[in-house]
Amino acid sequence: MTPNKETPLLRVTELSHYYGDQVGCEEINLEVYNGEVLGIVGESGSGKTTLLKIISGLLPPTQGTIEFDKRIEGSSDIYQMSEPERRLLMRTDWGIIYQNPKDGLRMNVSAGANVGERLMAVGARNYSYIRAESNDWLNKVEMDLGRIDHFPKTFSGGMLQRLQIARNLITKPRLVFMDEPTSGLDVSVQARLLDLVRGLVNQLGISCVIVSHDLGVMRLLSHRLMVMKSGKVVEQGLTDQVLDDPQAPYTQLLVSSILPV
Amino acid sequence: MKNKLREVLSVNNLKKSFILHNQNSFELPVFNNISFSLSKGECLVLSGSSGTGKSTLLRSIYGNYLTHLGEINIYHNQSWINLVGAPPHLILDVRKQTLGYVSQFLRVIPRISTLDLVAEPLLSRGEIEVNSINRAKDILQKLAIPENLWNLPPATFSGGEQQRVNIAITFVRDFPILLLDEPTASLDTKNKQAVIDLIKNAKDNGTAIIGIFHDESVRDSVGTTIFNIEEAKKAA
Repeated sequence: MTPNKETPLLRVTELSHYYGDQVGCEEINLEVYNGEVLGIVGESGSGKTTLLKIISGLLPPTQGTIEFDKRIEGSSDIYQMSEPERRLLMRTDWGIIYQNPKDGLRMNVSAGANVGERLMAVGARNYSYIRAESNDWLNKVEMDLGRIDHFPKTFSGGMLQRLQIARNLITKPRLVFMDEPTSGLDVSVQARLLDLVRGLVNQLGISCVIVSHDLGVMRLLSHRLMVMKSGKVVEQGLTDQVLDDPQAPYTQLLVSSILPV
Repeated sequence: MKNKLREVLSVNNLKKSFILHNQNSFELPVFNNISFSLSKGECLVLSGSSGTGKSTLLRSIYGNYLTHLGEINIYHNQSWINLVGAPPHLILDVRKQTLGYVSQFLRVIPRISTLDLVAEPLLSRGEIEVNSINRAKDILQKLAIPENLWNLPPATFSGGEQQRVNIAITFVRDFPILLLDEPTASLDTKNKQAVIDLIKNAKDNGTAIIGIFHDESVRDSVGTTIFNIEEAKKAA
């Protein structure tokens, strides 16, 4: 069997979204396969986050379809499902990691509860099991276990981001959406976080859609790259090909603007 | 006469040019109408002076550079596929199983130990950890990387050591086809010999190789066929 006959985990067809007469994103087609990391780059206002919101079930698009390959039912349009079905998907098979960790965490419950909550949402009720799993995941994201009962508001930005990752990955999602996961973190914390994400994605075989404007992050994490400008996809292909041999005028400008370190 | 049955790669009328949109869409032609084929156990040496497009040809075959015209047919998973215009996930699959590439420079994730870097491709292919680590150790030993460096990231290594780590990352897997871009450029005689032995060994096991070797001694000891890119361009 050749992999191109596989059903993609996520398939987006002819997707457009308008804010009034303002273009959010236009005519987007994309596919994400199992174990694949898709990166979306583009300048501010190019529609990256709009696209991510739509395909992660947070914003119904003006037109177009988003199909997710469900474990049992197979490929289904996420906006044709009932709300409870979509919600279930969001807390089991999907993970969403927000740019601002405060959007993805509960700031007024402990770190351990933040991580354990998703397990409870899929039916876990045994307290010691939840506690053990939470500890295990906090360990995986290199968190100090002494902090498990502390509130996230006492955590630094890097710790919050790692807590958010643990909270999302504990239910072993098949697809994780990340919006600028490392922006706002200093370089050394950023590097550690990237190692962590990369390692986890490799080990667990998770598919990812990552939005970022940092091309270095993309070269490290993503297999495929999509370049957006003014709501449209101007180029897509293998990450190293897009960065080493960019075809579109905008991508050439983008790549040639990287500052050497 | 080449044996068709042993063929693993054939390039037909391949064209590559760069269009520089930010320089008034200036078109920089590199090559045109390049054709050759490669069989199991063959080592095709690309020759031609600097700037004639040897590395570009290797990168085009690897899919690092995008080509629009011509064909790159490769024997992958018991069937022939054309890499020109192939979807990215298919190219990734080819890179994972069939086609290995050793670049001139080591480009790896910072702060990961050498041993882990070399073992990782095996792990990500689903091999168990003990085996992967053992094979990584074995290849590092063959390439004479001192054992006390194995647990360090290669960023602080010398040029020659980095290059050998780069070779190890690719050679730890048994790719049917290998692309080598000057794998011995900054190596001393002893280490060069280690790399030559590795290439010869791979060749004897049926690996098909396309390589760029500026060093004549290396070229003479591993090469089976010479493909002169300048002459091919003139003929085209």
